[in-house]
Amino acid sequence: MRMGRVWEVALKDFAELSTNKAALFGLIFIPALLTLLGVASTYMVTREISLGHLSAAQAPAAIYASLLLLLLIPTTNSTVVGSMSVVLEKTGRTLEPLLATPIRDRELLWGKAVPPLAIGVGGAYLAFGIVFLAGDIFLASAHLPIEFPGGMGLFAMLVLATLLGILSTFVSLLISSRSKELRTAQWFSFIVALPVFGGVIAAFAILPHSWVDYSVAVAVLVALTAVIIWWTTDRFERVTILLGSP
Amino acid sequence: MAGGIQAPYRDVIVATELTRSYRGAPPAVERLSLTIRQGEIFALLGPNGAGKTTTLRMLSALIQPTGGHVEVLGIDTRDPHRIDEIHNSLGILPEVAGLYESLTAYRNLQFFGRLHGLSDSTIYERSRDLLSSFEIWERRDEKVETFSKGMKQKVAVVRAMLHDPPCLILDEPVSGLDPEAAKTLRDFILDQRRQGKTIVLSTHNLDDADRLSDRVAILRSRLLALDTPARLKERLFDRVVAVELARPDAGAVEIARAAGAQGAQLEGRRLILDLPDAETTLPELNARLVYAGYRIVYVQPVVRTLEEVYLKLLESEGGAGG
Repeated sequence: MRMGRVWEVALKDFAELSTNKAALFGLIFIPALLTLLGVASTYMVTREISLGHLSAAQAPAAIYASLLLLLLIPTTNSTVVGSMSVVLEKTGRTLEPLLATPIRDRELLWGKAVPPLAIGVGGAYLAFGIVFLAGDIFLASAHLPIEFPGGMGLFAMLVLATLLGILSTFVSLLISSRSKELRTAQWFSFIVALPVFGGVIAAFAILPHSWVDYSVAVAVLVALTAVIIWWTTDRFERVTILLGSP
Repeated sequence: MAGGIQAPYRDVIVATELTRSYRGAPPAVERLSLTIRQGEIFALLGPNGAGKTTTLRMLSALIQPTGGHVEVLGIDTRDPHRIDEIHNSLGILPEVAGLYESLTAYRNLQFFGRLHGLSDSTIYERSRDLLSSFEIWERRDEKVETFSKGMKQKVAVVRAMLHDPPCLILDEPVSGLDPEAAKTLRDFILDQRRQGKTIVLSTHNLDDADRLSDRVAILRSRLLALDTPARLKERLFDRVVAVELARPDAGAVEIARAAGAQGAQLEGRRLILDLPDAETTLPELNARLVYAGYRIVYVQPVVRTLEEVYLKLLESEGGAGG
């Protein structure tokens, strides 16, 4: 696999995306809104504790509940970008000239995977960073005897965000490569990605009570992601992408 | 490696018994065998749905045949390890230009050039030379979405030529273009042949095929005919000659039939004759007409068009198709 070609496809996709104002708005607006909600939630939790409406023991769970919402960022952004990726090459009739270059199927797949991963996972990292920073500031300024979920909490969230981003990216790329039009690709990608997100939320709503539960759930998500990557790589063939069937 | 295989192959593309079927449909292409030689313009003709695009896709290793095989410059397209060499040896222009509309013309060329392994300086030089030959170098930094169809087609041709492939595969290259843009592209194609490139094109424009191609293949899922345009005309039609007479009448028709003309009819002052053996029949006919007192103004061969050949072939295969 030549990384130059992978990078070239990724750069081209970034360049195209940067000119798509509607897509950019969606990709910025939802994360910004979720980040704002996260910051507001941590502020509210801090305030409720200072007012005595919430006990210090309840604080971590309340903060985590608001942080889990940020996991929507890798899910939605990676799905939106990934599902557009291949199908827009088909509808724009650029797929045939692209496949007529020496690019290999895997180089194309990984090149196509970079933008949704970067936008989904990168966006989530940024959002978590902002909310964690805001939480630390609120708690410190309120002089409360509570520590905002620190290094391990952040690490746990970033692992989840990364896994959800990878999973959403590869699912949506696979669906995009089999779809003939954008709406179908996005619809089916969300049908797969959102239940996975819901499952993660349900599994981790109990956190951070048990790191064993967390490890088991992450292991399941890692296995699922590995299966999806393998499946997508196996099915991402030029003939199928071009014709819709082998 | 850009530029592909610069080999002394005389046969650039050899297709053997090519068949391509799609699930639940009759074969789009059936047992098609043809050889495309270096330096020729080879046209694929056929009605819609005849399998031209499928054939071009198989010849350019974009899809694999379900039966038979293709060799491009001696490489079997089924060999997945040599797909780079094949695609570097071919310049492909699909039916639709297929450019990234929101990017500039130059960014499009840069993207495809880099995928072919060209350096940025080579991409710049080749783009400048090729875009200048189409007089659009000055507009290289404009978004493709602002271009006319003809300009987009020119950029797409430049993209196909960027890595200097020995063989070009062009699907409907002048379709939908205005006469000026079509002429520019036709001249470009002829110029490429002069430079020794092999050109395979599919077209609905039979006039273009007649003017441009060295050989034509007429397809309707399977190969109906393959030859030079001139030989196809000869093969399918007798030599037709028009003899203009000063004062024609029905007697001239009788004389023509007696001299061996298979078909003879009067069209105004012209006697239109089908002469299977014109070399011997025509002098005999002229002599008889003069002897009978007719004054011959001129004798002229009636040129058959490729369109007539095409329609006759399709008709004999059961309808002209759609």
